[in-house]
Amino acid sequence: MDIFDLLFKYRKAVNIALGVIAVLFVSWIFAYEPVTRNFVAQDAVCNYCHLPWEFNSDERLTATKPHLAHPDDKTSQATCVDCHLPEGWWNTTYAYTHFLSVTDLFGHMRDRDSERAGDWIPPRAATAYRVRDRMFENDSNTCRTCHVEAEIKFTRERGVNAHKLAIKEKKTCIECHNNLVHRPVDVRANAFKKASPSDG
Amino acid sequence: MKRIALAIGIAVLLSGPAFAGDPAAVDWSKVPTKNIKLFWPGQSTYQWLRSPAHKRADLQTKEGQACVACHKGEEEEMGNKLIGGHDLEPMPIEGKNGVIDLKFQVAYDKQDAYFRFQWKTLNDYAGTAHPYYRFDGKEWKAYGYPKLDEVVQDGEQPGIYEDRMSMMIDDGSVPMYETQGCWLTCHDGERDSPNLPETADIKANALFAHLKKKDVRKYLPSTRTDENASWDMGKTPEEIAKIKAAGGFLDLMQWRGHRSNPVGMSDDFYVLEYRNSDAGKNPFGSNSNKETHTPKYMFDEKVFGKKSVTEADIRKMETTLIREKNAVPFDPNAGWKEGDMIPKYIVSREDSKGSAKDNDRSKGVWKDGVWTVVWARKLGLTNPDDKALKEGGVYSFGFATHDDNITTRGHHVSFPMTIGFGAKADIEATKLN
Repeated sequence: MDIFDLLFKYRKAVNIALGVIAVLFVSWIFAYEPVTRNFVAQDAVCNYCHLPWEFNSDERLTATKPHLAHPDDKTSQATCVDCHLPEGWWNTTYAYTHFLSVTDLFGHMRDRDSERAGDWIPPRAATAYRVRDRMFENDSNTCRTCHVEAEIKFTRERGVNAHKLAIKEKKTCIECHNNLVHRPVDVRANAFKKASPSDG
Repeated sequence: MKRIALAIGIAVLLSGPAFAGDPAAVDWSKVPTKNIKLFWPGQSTYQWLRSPAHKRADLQTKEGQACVACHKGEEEEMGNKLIGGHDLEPMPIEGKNGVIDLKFQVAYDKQDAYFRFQWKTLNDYAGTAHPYYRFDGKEWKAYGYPKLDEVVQDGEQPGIYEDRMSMMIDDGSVPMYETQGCWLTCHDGERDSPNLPETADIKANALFAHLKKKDVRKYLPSTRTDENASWDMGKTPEEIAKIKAAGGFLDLMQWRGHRSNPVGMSDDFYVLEYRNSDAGKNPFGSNSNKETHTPKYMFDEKVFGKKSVTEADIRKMETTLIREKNAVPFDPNAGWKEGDMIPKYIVSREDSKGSAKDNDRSKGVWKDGVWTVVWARKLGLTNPDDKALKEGGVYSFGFATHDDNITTRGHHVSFPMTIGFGAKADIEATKLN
């Protein structure tokens, strides 16, 4: 009896199995992004490799500290993936594929402390500069994924004043809100300057 | 009849208005009052404001953004937060208030500008006492210090220091003063500020050696060579002289409860590479004889009733030693007893002179817990160390009061504001007829 005869003989069971697989597959398609974001790529998982001292723990707006604007609402805290994992089903795969930089991991295993304390700092600073430039050029789109200017509830007068001025002067979030999360990196000279034809 | 009318007319013209020149005679009820919140600034120095610790504002501050762009209306909150202990206040003083409400009025006529200040003091006495020399049975030793000094904080000495009201003025010549005010002058390394240098280092610095100074006081960033405006990076005297000649300095004047008010004056200084006295002589000077380590003057018993005071006298009576009024040369054999006290400063209206004497019409009265200080200053001064106030001009002012036995940064300050004399500004001076 060949395989087809077997499938035919147990076709009812096969149909049920295929149905279950189809349901599981469709479910997986729908669940992939929320499960990845909420259960797989948790801060603790990220921090397993991305060491905690890459973050400014005094300022970090994640699980270590309540969000400034919602001190009593623990569900409103930003997590790593809120900024680092772009929205969308396909983008979610980045949570799994970014381990291509696994060579770094071997570096940690070899010399975990000194590597982070020393050689890594200049590249991380360069990364900070690059990311800030990108956010400046793109009107801080990462921030605006969650924060809607018109809906911000200010807790202090300075916030009201500063945002009013920023809107008037067409400034974007990153020009003021830098060094909030990661290891502090000084803002480099001439950061946040719009290019002008006269620059050349 | 015509002669009488002419004589009356001439007399009226010559006498001018009843208040002419006298700030106390101005009808202040007709001059609008501006309520200004003065707040405790802690150690918010020029360097701190431009550091990442000044969160989300360091870059903007470097670019010259105004303090009030963010902090408008926050004076009370900031003062009360800083006074109780904070990263910016390592020496909190028990019972001190974070904010003082200042009532301010300003008027002018053809000759003078007139100012009136009113504020409630923390203490139920006028701050007219100032450090003294006290005889301990053998020697005359300094007695009483400002409250930020460790000897007071440790309880070794009482907190004794005069009350003050200060004005800092610019005419638009000092970059960023209009937006950042007095904070341009407050730096790391100054007395009671962070990163205090050693006296030896100050004396060894070229600029301070030239100035013959052994501490760091207010200065402007334009007088330093580095971007951070460090105290020890002074420009050459020649470069600084050029800045002064171009008007790049600030006028700084202080009414003092002990060292100027008793002779109806305020002092006159300017801020450039240091907090410098105007040319001439201010109304107060040291009462120390450095050779004998005794006071130079003591009270004239015939006029004052006694040749010294005691701790029980201070704040209950005026204890200022005035050279032309109640002072005589110190007599070491006058039968001194332990506890006798003589002021550390000698005050004189007669000896003051030059540009430093410009504020010779100011007077403060303390009543029911409130100081009322009136002050006149000539318009159109031509001294090279003054900012000449003129009709039609707009000037940036900063105000500060030292209250409750304190000095240096232990003041309550205002954000800068503009005052117009016949011109549009934050506060418009009332023209008197």
